[in-house]
Parts: sequence; structure tokens; C-alpha cells
Amino acid sequence: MKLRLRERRKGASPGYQGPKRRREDREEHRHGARPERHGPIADHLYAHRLALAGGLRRMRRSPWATWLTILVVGIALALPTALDLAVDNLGRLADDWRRGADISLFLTPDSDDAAARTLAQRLRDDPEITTVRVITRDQALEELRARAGVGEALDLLGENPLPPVVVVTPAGSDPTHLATLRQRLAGLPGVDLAQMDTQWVERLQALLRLADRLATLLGLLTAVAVAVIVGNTLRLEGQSYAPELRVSRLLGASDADLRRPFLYGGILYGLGGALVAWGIVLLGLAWIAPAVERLASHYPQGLELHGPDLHALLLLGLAGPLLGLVTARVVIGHQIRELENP
Amino acid sequence: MIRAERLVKRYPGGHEALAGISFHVERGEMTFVTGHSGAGKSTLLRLVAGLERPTRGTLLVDGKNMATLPRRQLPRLRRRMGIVLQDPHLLYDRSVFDNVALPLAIVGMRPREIAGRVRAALDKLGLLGKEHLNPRVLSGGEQQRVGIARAVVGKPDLLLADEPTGNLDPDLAREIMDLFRAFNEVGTTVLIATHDIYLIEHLPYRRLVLERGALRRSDAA
Ligand SMILES: Nc1ncnc2c1ncn2[C@@H]1O[C@H](COP(=O)(O)OP(=O)(O)O)[C@@H](O)[C@H]1O
Ligand SMILES: [Mg+2]
Repeated sequence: MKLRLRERRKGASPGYQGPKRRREDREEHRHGARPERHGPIADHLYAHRLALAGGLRRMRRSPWATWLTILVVGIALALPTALDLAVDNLGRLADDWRRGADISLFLTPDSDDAAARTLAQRLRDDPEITTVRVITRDQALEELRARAGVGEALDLLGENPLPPVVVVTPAGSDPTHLATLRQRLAGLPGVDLAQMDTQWVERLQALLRLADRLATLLGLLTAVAVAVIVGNTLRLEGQSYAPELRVSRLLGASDADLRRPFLYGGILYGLGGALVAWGIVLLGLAWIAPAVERLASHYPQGLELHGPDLHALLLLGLAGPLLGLVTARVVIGHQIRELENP
Repeated sequence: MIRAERLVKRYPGGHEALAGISFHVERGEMTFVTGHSGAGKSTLLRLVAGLERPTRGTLLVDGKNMATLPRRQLPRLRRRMGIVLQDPHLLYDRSVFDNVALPLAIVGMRPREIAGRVRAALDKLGLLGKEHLNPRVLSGGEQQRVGIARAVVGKPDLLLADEPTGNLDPDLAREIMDLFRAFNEVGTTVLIATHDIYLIEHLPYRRLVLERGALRRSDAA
């Protein structure tokens, strides 16, 4: 084998620069890997494009681990999103129910139907009340008989023990406002008891506030879980790339150069997971939509399923990649610091 | 380019591989480091390359104090070095071409420009026909030449080579030496560790002779 050396000058002294050196010789061995100039911005963008391609290549190299990680991240991100969505929809529903909630004014036992009608007439002019309905003593008895199935027991009483009832529908729906209205109505002469038919809605709303808290907690736990999943995948990736990292550092790569493809990897895992989470949530909504429609037919005011708003989708789409990025920075940063020299 | 003063390297475990040596290698000079196995040649080169830190004394490389140089400033210096380690440390998940292209890719050179430079380097080392092979299928000597091609492809200011001709037959070894000399003639500072005194005995370069971590002689041939 013959090496193709341009220079074969025996006896050249150290550092000797031949005066008659040909120009192309000088080009041939000129110092420094001086790349063509492209400008700092172009170089920066090129480095990032390369890192993105590197991140993708590394993910493609172990497709199973990649898809599994993305799927698990997606499921993890979908859980708090779905819970949040459920709480949001039930909250709207509860508001609707509360809006339609009436206040029943039970008159004192000695009141007759005429007293109820007089009271109703007065309340019709109240600006805080939209509709007023009177339930006469007979009607009340009928209702009770029909509903409770206690007909015979009532017959034993002989006389109708029930007072007439005036049912009013409040104009507003603000809970504190409703509470003061109820109190005012309870204080009216002839009114024994003012009962809001919303106690169960309030209980539901309290429950939803709890569920909302839980959704936040679940969101935080999910963030930790995603960091662990992505971090573990990246740690294994970093281990399998240790030889390349060691050699690259020997050849002049900075820590940032070594990290960059992994950072893109983390971003891609997070983004992929967010996309999967969107898919899961949207598919889930489509799946329960027919059931909701059937349910809606039983409600006069209708029932509408609200999907995630743009804000929530964007939040998810940002949180995933950001979480991946931060995790990659911590995990790979640590690995690179611990890397031994070749 | 390289200045050592009472340079000491003690490995964890207490072994003193370099016991306070002083020397100076001028910019553009070509120097051999010789001595028996275990004399401290590799240690000296690793210190200059920043792969190990000095224990005591001073080591200046291109004016940078290698004892105190911050980690994040090392890459800048490394990019101006070509390093040939005893084991070539090739990457076996890619072709010979891609191995040699690595230092150029690290400094952000574009593929078009990389291709020309890598071929030129492979050509100089007689590896042009092997560029698409995986280095795993190459002989020890060929792998070593791939490592040398990777070290010179970036046209470094400082070339460090640890036993670069260890796996090569005598003819090839001489040709590799000639390649290093050619780089030196255009101003590259070259520091080569070798125990092969027959290969270099007729070459007109200075020799640092190490013996159990001490500098026995520093003589111009
Ligand atoms: N990483 C290390 N840890 C401990 N001792 C080492 C290490 N590297 C080298 N040595 C010791 O330092 C001495 C010099 O080694 P080295 O520099 O490799 O010598 P040479 O290259 O001249 O053969 C040897 O005795 C060797 O055993
Ligand atoms: Mg050695």
C-alpha cells in the first residue's frame, strides 16, 4: 500500500516552512477546521436542526421503547385532562339545575288557600321573582298521596293536615343572592318555612369543588409520573450513547452539544404524549356523546357536552413538551457530568 | 505551545505517573516522547489533552492553565487539537466515513464541505476504498489509521498521538510518520508518544525521554 503524501521532504527542520512551497500544498494542510462561513444565526439554526434530526434518529432506533413511552405519557396526561373535563361539565350542569331551582313557601298550618293566593299576588310584583305558582291544600294532598304511596295512612287522618304552598322561581342564580332571598321570604307573615329545592345541587357542587382539587393534585402527580417515565427512557438512551458522547467530547463537543439531541428527544416525547392525550380525550368524548344525547332528551332545558377548550388543549400541548425538556435537561445533564473520559 | 513546570500527576491510589517534569514545546515544533512501558508517556499526553488534570505543578497548553481551565472552556481547546489515543475509540454503529466526519460535524460544518475534507483525509491514509465499511470489519492497523484520519481531518494546530504506529508494519509506520511530518511542516505542533525508538532514531526531532515518571533527557537528535 502506498500512502499518498504530498510532502516527502527529508531533513526538514522542526517548524521549517519551505519558501518554495506550492500554493495547493499550503491549502492542503492549512490549519484549523475552518468551516465555510454561514453566519451565527444560520449556524445556530443548523445545530438545532441537526439536534432535532438526531433526537428523532435516536427515537427511531428503539421504536418499541419510543412508542411505549409516548403511549404511557399520553395516558398519564389524559387522566387529569379527562377528570378536569368531567368536573367542568358537571359544574355547568349543576349551574343549570340550580338556575331552574324553585323556592317552596309552606304557609302556617292554619292558612287557607285564599291566603296563599293573596301572598302569591303580592309576590308576582317582586322584581327578584319571575314566576309564582300556588299549590292548594287539596293539590298538596293529591301530590303526597301519589308520590309517597301513603294514601291509606292519610285517609286515616280524616282531615287534610297540609298547608297550601306557594312556589316561586327566583330571577337570579347567584347562590348568596338566592340565600338572602330565601331568608327574606321565610320572614314574610304567614310563611312557616321557605325551602330551597337545591340542597342536593349544593351538595353536588361541594363535591365538584373537591373533585376539582383532586384534579389539580392528579395533575401534579401526573407531572411527576411523566418526568419519571421520560427520564427513565432518556437515561437508558443516554447509557447506550455513552461511547458516542465520550468520543464526541474528546473531539471538542461541548456539554450543550452533547445534550441538545436529548433535549429534543425529551420535547418530542412530551409532544407525542400530549398528542396521544388529545386523541384519548377526543375519542372518549365521541364515545360518550350518544349516551349524553339520550340523557339530554329527558331534560327540558337540554344537556350539552362541552369538549376541552382551546386553552386547555394548548396548556396540555405546552406542558408535555416543557416537562420533557426539563426532565431531559436534568437527567442527561447529570449523565454527561458523570461521563468518564476515553 | 506546551509548557510544563514541575508537573506532577498522581493517580488515585497514590501511584505517581509523572514526578515533577519541566519542558517546553514551541509552537510549530515536532517532539517525540519516548521511554519504556509505564514511564508516563500516555499520562503526559492525556494531561496535555485535558483528559486528566495535573496533581501539582504547572501545565500550560496554548497559554491555558490545564490545572484550572474551567470544564466548559475545554471544548474550544479540543477543537484545535487532533488526538490519537492508543485505542482508536471508533464508533462501531456507523461507517468509516462517518467516524472521520465526526469532528467536522461537531464544529457545525455542512455535509457538502465535510464530504470533500473527509475523502481527502481518508485518501492520505490510504483508506479511500473503505469509507463505507463499518470499522469493525477493518484490521487493527486500518482502525488505527481511521483514528488518525479523524484526528487530522480538522487540520488541528496541535496534534497529539499516543503510539500511533503501534499496530502498523514498519513501512506503513514510516509513512504515517511522514504524514505527521507533513502537517508539522505547515506549522502544526506535533507531540508523539512512542516506544519504537528504531522508527524515530533517524528523524531530526527533539525527544523527551521519560523514565519512571521523570524526564531523563530532553535532547535534539
Ligand atoms: N488511570 C490510572 N490509574 C492508576 N494508575 C495509572 C493509570 N494510568 C496509568 N497508570 C500508571 O501510571 C504509570 C504510567 O502509565 P502510562 O502513562 O500509561 O505509561 P506509558 O504510556 O509510558 O506506558 C504506569 O505505572 C501505570 O500503571
Ligand atoms: Mg502508553
